[in-house]
Amino acid sequence: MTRGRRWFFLFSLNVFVFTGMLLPTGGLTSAVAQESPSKKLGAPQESPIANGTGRLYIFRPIRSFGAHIDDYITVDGIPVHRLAPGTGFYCDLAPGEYVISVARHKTSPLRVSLAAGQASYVCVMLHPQGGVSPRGGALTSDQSFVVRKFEPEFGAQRAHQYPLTRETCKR
Amino acid sequence: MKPARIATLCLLALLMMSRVTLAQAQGPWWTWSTISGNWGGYRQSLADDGVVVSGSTIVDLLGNVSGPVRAFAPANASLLAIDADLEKLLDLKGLLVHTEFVANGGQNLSTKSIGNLLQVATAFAQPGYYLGQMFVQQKLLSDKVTLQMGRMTTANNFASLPAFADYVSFAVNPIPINLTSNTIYFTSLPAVQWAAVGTIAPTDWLAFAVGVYDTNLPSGLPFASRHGVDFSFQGSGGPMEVAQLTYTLNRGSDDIGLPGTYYLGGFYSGAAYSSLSHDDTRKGNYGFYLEGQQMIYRRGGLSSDVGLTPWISIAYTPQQSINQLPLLVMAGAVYHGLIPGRSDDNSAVGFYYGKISTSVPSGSGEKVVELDYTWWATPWLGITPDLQYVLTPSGRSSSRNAAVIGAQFQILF
Repeated sequence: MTRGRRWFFLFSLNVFVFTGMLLPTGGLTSAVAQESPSKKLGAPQESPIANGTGRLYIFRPIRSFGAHIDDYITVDGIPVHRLAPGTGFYCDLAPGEYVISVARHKTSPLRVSLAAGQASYVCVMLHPQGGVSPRGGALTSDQSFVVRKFEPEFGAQRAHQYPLTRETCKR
Repeated sequence: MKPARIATLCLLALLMMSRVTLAQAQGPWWTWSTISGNWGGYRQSLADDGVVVSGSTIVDLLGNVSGPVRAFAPANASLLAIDADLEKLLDLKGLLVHTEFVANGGQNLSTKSIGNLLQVATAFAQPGYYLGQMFVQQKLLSDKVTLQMGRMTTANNFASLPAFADYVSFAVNPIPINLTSNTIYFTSLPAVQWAAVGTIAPTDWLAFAVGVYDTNLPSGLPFASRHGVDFSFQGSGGPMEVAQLTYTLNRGSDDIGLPGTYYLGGFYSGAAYSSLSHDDTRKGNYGFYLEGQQMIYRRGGLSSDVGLTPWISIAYTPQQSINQLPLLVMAGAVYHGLIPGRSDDNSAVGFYYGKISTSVPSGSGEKVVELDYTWWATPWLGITPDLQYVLTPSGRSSSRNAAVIGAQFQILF
């Protein structure tokens, strides 16, 4: 096959693959994961915080690499929710202090104080060591995580960019 | 043609897999973290048992829209990786086996139309399919020590600043291009060498890595590597040693300061190198690099990851008689979450200056300005419109500047 034909084949392949990927979702415009996902995804409205409890929002941003690396978020050592990039969850808890970490990965855990009627926003981020580019190789699955608490206003805005699942956190 | 066909079949298989699992996974398809999802729970089960599968493909669709030689060149780089966690599989604490398969296709716009040295598309590599990295990794002393041994690419451990991944140009992504183009053995995928790398991280903010790489010429050149399975060990004169000191600032959970990452590294290669101006060879090559990125403005208060991070990189390989690009100075800035409500997107601007060796007749320096915006349409699809302007390609005053526009697509499997 001539270089020109090979070139055309590769280009056609790319167009075909991308078209194929986008068709099931109804097109690129509907494939927007951010900005009011609850409306776009038809998720149930969040219920108000239960009396005498506080609410913990935990989410994970999107990153280029390491999307395949995930595990359960633990609250006081108890696994609650398997957190993939671009998703989050929330749960209501009695006022108190909680330690948030990621199961089976080296993690800098975060200690969060929760008051009644208060919401806390926690971001879980991959802390990659080594190459972060396809030409540098894939990240090995044993990467560490960092857990950070965001300020309320920004945290609320940020958490609601992702589809959120309601969970039950036990103590 | 064969590599392209194989890559096609792989992509179609993954596409079909994703459709099959459409009904099995939770949530709409576009909210999954990868395009192929969780394989109906099988992927997570495998991971829990110790086998983690990952993949990505990047497609660069770039065109030179200026000058008499206008051209368009697509390029594709795909990567499939399998991790076997032997701690889970065989109860061997801290031991992991990592294997990669790589497929590349397409054309190099820089050679096809522009004639420049700071290659514009990171997705382009010698077309073909390859066995990529294949190494064993052992972590010791509560992960303070990491030992890796096997077939490895240098960019996996050295000189790849996180901010570099936000650019389309191969001048900067994954490592300063002059480290690769001058030495050959300072590799990025699909080129790999036999290697051993040790990393000591006594604290969360400091790490020191040392690597020894074989300098087997066929193994280091993708087209000569027999699809990455040329396992011959004979070096071309002597091994290459690389060392890097890494300093990370404010990266912990309790740190409230602005985060930064800094690399200081150097290498020595004992291999023989061809002279640029004579027919002889010269044994040995060495160089240094200094790279740093530091967030200077943050929106959203303490701990937020939204804000402006400038970076700088200097890579210097002094021997002008054998190094075509002895000096590469690059600087830029990445704004993470510039548009409100789009906190995962990246805006990036960069300027690259490559000084041409004095041994190259009529060569001075090549400069590139790059502008990118990476829009994460879904967690598994990043689309990056890209603009590059190449000034004095190859450093020749007679060469015409080139404007390159296009886009990069990143898909995570």
